[in-house]
This record gives sequence, structure tokens and C-alpha cells, in this order.
Amino acid sequence: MPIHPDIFSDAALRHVRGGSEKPPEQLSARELPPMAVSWASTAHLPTGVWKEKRPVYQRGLSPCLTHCPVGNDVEGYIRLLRDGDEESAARLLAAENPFPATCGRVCYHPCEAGCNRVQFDKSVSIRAIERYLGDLPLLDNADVWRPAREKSGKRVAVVGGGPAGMSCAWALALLGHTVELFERNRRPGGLLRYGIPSYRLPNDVLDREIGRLRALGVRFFTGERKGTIDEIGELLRIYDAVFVASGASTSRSLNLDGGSGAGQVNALEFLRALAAGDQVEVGERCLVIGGGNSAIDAARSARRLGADVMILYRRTRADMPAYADEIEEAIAEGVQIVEQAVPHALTVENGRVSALTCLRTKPGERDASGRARPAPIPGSDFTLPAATVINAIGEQTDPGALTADRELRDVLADAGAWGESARARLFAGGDFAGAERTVAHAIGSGKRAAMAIDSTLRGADSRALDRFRVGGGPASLTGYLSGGELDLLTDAVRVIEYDELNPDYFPHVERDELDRLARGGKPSGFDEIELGWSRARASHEAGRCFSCGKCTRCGLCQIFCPEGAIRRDPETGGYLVMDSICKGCGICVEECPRCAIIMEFVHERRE
Amino acid sequence: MREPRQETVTRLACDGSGPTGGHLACRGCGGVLAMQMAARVLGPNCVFVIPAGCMAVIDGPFPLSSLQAPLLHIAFEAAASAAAGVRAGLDARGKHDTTVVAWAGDGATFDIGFGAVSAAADRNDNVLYVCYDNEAYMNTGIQQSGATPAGAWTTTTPRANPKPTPKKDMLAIMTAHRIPYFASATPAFPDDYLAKLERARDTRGFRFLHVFTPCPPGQRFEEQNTVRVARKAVTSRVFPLVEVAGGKALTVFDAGEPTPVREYVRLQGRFSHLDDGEVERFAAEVDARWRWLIDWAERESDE
Repeated sequence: MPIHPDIFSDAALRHVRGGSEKPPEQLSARELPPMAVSWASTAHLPTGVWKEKRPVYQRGLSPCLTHCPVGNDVEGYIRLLRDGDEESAARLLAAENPFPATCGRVCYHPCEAGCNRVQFDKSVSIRAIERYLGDLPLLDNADVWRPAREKSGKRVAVVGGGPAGMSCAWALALLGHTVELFERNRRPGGLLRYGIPSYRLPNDVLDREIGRLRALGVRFFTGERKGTIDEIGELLRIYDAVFVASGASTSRSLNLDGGSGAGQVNALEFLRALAAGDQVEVGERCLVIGGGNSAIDAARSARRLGADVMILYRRTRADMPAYADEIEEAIAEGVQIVEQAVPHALTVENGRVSALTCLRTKPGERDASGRARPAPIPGSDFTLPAATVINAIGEQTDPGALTADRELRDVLADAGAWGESARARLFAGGDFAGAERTVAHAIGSGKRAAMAIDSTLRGADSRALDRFRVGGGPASLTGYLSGGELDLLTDAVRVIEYDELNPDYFPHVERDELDRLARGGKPSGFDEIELGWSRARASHEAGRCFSCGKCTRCGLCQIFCPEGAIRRDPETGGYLVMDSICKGCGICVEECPRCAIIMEFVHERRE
Repeated sequence: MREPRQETVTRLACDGSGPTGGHLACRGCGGVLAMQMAARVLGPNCVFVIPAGCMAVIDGPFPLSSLQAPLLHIAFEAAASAAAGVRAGLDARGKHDTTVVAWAGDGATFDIGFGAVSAAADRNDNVLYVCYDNEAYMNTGIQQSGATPAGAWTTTTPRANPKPTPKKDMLAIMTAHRIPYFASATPAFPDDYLAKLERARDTRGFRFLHVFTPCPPGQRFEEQNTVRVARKAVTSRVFPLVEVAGGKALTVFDAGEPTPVREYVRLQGRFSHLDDGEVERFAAEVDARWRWLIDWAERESDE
């Protein structure tokens, strides 16, 4: 339906101008016909009294914040990165976590499980973003690692150089205390160094982050075991407080028929020997028994040493406690999984393991947790040739069994949420204190203990510490340092759920993943398997974040107000609602993409 | 979809211009929301001509006015011809740069003032005609208009006997007049609405802007859902956003993957009597019209 082009010409328009360009004649008011003319504005009509509910801005919490055991301001650093302020993003991350590059590699990312985007498409790749920020060279700037407070003159001993101990040492040093750390191994790192294979966490990444602790003034004493109640008592006499986080690094014995022979090894010892650079021999055929993360780590490491590797697990693959993506990676590298089988007897020839006889299992009676206990099926035995058998069923070990004596374990068994023990000035954390056994939980527990120690040393009431928990969950060191003056602590009301968001404003964008070195049946040696991101990819992924509960000044509330009742607040940069004209329709609340406004009743409702 | 661009937000954000608070629109009024945005984009150099309808009431009780711009109240049928008169008067005084805006509801446009609209379009009067469409005579108590969709409840088309005929096709009607600018828009898509307001303002001759402005009391939905209803109308393709500018081909705004028509219908009480089969038929009509539109757009881009 083309339109005749002539209608745009001046000639065509001339008639609406009266056909001439001559100067207008002025009409006087007397020549106008009589008419009623308004002379005042409605601006002062208080139509705001119509409302039953009023919009109120709020600071809600993104679920990633409360899901992070460390207490990272996940939404905060992702938002800063998205807005192009990479440096502030990295600093915000490092303010709550001394090991961002490490966590960015090995954390099991509960934040991603909590991410509201799961219900929209897929969660934000938070771990990959954390890794990107953690790897930034600017985090090596000395001013990032400078005590936030004046020297207190107090000295604290930390026993155990794993993630819990080091995070406690970091936080204590930030808080102005002198920290001395005792580690029984030759080098600090604990599980990070001796339990996690270097293809997941390269040594130089770990060393870089530990080096910054030294820069902060933490003194390390390595090769120093402090595991008895007397040794700890001695430390308590010398230091103002002691934090014990000596880990849980033993494995259960398999108790197999057929005796023992060379070629049997515990998974943690195996990984530890590998990490320490000791001579490690693996036969051509290697069996790993267990379904946890150390089983997977051991299997993938053995695969890298050239062995054919099978994992033997008593339940099905879906029941394995190891992280699903790790299992998938292991399979991609050629590790086989034998499901529903238990070891029964070992064949030893000439003092060396040569085969393992196994029994099939079936689901049996349910145990206390409701899971079916696998029951071996009599007569179902089969034999697998094996030159190496790695025992990785160490999940239910006694915390600290190898590292602390019974008495000390008893004293510290009931350490509280802030690490406080029955004995004054003695604190505990990490795997040792029976926390959930992840790197993130260990870091979180070390941080909490540091706050409790600081609070005790300053004579403050440590019962008031819970106010530094974000949303009642993880503790915020930034919040603690600011005396609680942090919007996450003061204003944040509750965790925002997906249903409260307005997903209409979010486009579907595919989740980006870290690239990986090896695929298709072949491992890649002990080189790091995941490759980091470019700035562009990290920013792009950060752009997927909803910023649940956080006003990002998008202005939708303002432009959709039919009353024009919402104005920018020049002081805060936020928004103000003009109560006198807001009729309380609630469009602003409904349209807000991130639930940063809610409706509240103006009057108490009568029951 | 995405959040609107930050420049759009800055342009449309309340800065004290546009209707002041204290106006008499119902809570959640889509019409006054469309006016808020339009007044900010069109700027102060504007004269409004408003016939009988909600907006005449909303502006305020005599002697008060909220619009902060010259406004001529005029009889129901006369918006287009009065705007043409204002235009002639302004031109006679040399004020060619003042925008004359006729701001009329669907009743005044589709039905009562239709003859005047057609005549002004035929004369290519240099005015911007905005029809804010809430699909019934809401001001007088929700009587059906020519803009009411088939199947909808109004007080004159009760549930037992809902409107049998479809909504008049204003796109076809107005473009058949071969006017220099026709567009449909809604405040729920601010980037698109802003761009169309600017193009309409800057075009000479008769411009027609068809703006979908949901009405909570008339269409029977909760007042916080006004923008949501308007958005769903577009994403479900019930109210496609189109533009026919400067003799060029029809363009259809791409709102991404379509959302179910059912979602749009079920938000509103005026459709609550429709059973699932009737909603399906409603959706089939929407789909047929959408294909007709796309055919049209493609046919012209080929020519």
C-alpha cells in the first residue's frame, strides 16, 4: 500500500497554513468568544490519600549471598564487573575472601545452586567470574593486603595451614593482630596443596595467594606439628589466643580378606605424595574404591600417570557424593565407573597386589538417613586385575584423628559456630571442628573464628557476633570491620525468591563455561585443565546476573509511574516517592525487575 | 526482552514536566501514563485538543488543570477538526513550530469522532492525532466501542452476550488514508514508544499514533498490572507494534518469542467468561492477523 509521495511536499501542506506565509495578525482578547479558562494547577490536590498501600524501597538479598559459605558479596562484585569497574569488583571480592583465585577453581559453588537464574535458564557462572577476578594482577597491589586496623599488640597462634587456618590468619592480620601460623607439612596450603591435584589447582596459583598473607605480616612456621593438648596449652601460655584447624586427613581401612601387599594406598596419601613431588608408582591397572571427591581426584591423577583406572562404588553413579561435573570430567578422561560393587578380597602375588575380588550389591534396608544400604549379593563375585588399589572411602573419618590427640579432640569437639571452645581463648575451625568439609566452609569458619577472637581480645561481647551474619547466614568481615555499618547488614531484609522478580526484563542468554584442555578419553597431564576467561567473556557472563533485591537505578519505577510521583533523590542517587500524590497503584513494584520495592499497607489492618 | 535503554529512561523520567500529580486518573491508569511519557517527549511547545473522554476528566476539575500545557476541551466528535482549526490559527500567527496534538480515546476515534478523523486525514492537516485505546467507553461506565475486541465483556455486551464483532482495524483504516505517519505503540515498550513519539512529532501532515493503554477498572484487572497487561498484549501479538512512516513499508516491532495469548487473556476479568476453547479461537484470530501483518510487511519490502 504505497503512499503518494506528493503529500509531503510544501505545496501539499500549504493549504493548512492558509496558503500564505504573510505575517499573522494579532487577535485581541476581546475578539475571542467567551470561554471558561482554567487558571490553577492540580498539583496540590492530595490524591495520595486514595491509597491503601504505599511503595517502599528495600534492599533484598540475592540468594547467592546467603548460599556462599565464605560470605562473599557475590551480587556486589558481579554488579561492579558488569558496570565496568573491574578493580572495585576484585577488591570487593578480596575483602571477604583471601583465596579468590583458589575458590574460583575448586569451590563447589553452592552460590550457583542458589542462583535465581536457575529457574529462568541456567545459573550465572559465578565460580568462573570469581576465578577471573581472582587472577587479576591488580590483586597483588600491596594496598589490597594492608591491615585495616592499627596494631593491637595481641598475638594469636594458628595451628594448621589449610584454608581454615590461613583464612583465620588473614582476617586476624587485617584486624591488626600479630599472627603466627604452625603447619606440620613442609609448605602451607593443607588440603589445597596436598589434597587437590595440581591440574585443578596449580601450585603457582596457591603460592601467589599464600604469598599475599606473608605480605600482610602473617608468619609461617612449617614442619611444626602442634597436635597434643600439652602443646596447645603451651601455645595458650605464650599467645593471647589460639585457633586450631588441623584438618581431618585420615582414611578408613578397607579390612579386606587376603592380607596386604605393595600397591595398596590411601587416596589422601596418594594425592599428598603426588603433590609433594615424591616418587609415586601406579600399576597399569588401577582400582579406586569410593565415590567421593577424593576418589575422583585420585582416579584422575592415576589416569594422568598412565594407568587404566576403574572406580568401584557400592551404590549407583547418581548416588556418588562427588560433584557431578567432576564425575563427568573423569569419565571424559577415560575413567571407568563400576557401579554397585564392593571389594571383597585381595589377591597378593610375590608381595604385590595383583587382583581384587568384588561382590555385586543390591539396595538393602534403609539406613537412618533414609538411603538404602547396599547389600552384597552372595555368590556374585567377580575379579578385576589390579596392580594398584587406592582406598578412597575416607569420608567418615574422625576429625583430626591423625593430627591431634584424643584429649585435644575432646576439648575442641563442641566448638561453636564462631569457633569458640569450652576453654577460654581457644578456638577451632575447618574440617577439624566438624564443619561441612569444603574449602569454602573452611574459609568461612576461619573468618568467623577470627572475628570471635578479635571480639574476645578487645573485650567485646562475642554473643553479639550474629549481627554480622548476612541474612542470618555467612559472616561478613567487611561488615565486622565497619562495626555493622554495611547495607547488607543494616538494610537487607530477606532473601529474594525468583517469583518476586520480574523476569520479563531479562533476556535469555546462554550460560558461558570455562574452556577445558582435555576431552575425549585422554587426560592432559598435570597442567591446569580449565582455562581462564578474557575480560569480555567475564563481563558478558556478569551481564546475566539479575542482581536480585538490589536497586540498580534502572529507573523503570520512575518512568512507569502514572502520577509522576517518583523522583530521583539527588543525595543518595536512589528514588523518592512523593507520598502526597502517590495513589498506591503498585505498578512500580510490579515492574521492578529485581524486587527492590515492595508494597506496605498505609494503615494497620483491623483484625 | 530487555530493560529499556538508559537514555530512554532519562528522557521519560519525571522531571516536573507532563501532567502534575493531583490529576484525577484512576489508580494504575494506562492513559495518563501514556500522556506522562508523551508530554515529556513532545515538550512544552504543544497545544492539546481533548474531546470528551477520560482524559478530559483526568486533567482536573475546573478551574484546575494538570497538563501544564494549553488544552482545548472540545465536544466528543470534534477532536480532529478542532485540532485542524487550532493548527490553522497557529499557522496564521506564524507559530508553525508548535505541535498540535489531538488526544482522544477509542470511543472518540473509532466511533463518535471517526468522520472528523477521516476528514482531517483526507485534508492531511498538520496535526498529531493520538488515540489512547482502552477498548471501551471507560469514562462513562465501560460501554463497548468499535475498539472492543470480540468476546470481551462490557456493560453493554454482558457475559451472556459478549461482543460478537472484532475490533475495527485502525491500521488498515488509517493507512488506507495514505497519511504520512501511522504507528501503534504502548508505554510498556518505552524505547519503541519514545522513538515513535519523536518521529510522529517531527513528521509534517496528519500523523496518527494508536497507543494501547490498559484500563484496570474497565478491563477488570488489578491496577498494578497495567504495564504487564500492555506488555503481554504486545508479546502475545494481540496488539502488534507497527509503523508505516513516510510512504515506506510497514515495519513490525520484534518483541521476541511470542508468549501465549492465554496469559494475556487470563490477566483480565473482561475475558473471564471465555472457556479454554474460546481462548484458543481468540488465539487463532490473533495468529491469523499476525500472519496477515507479516505478509504485508514482506510484500512491501519486496516491492
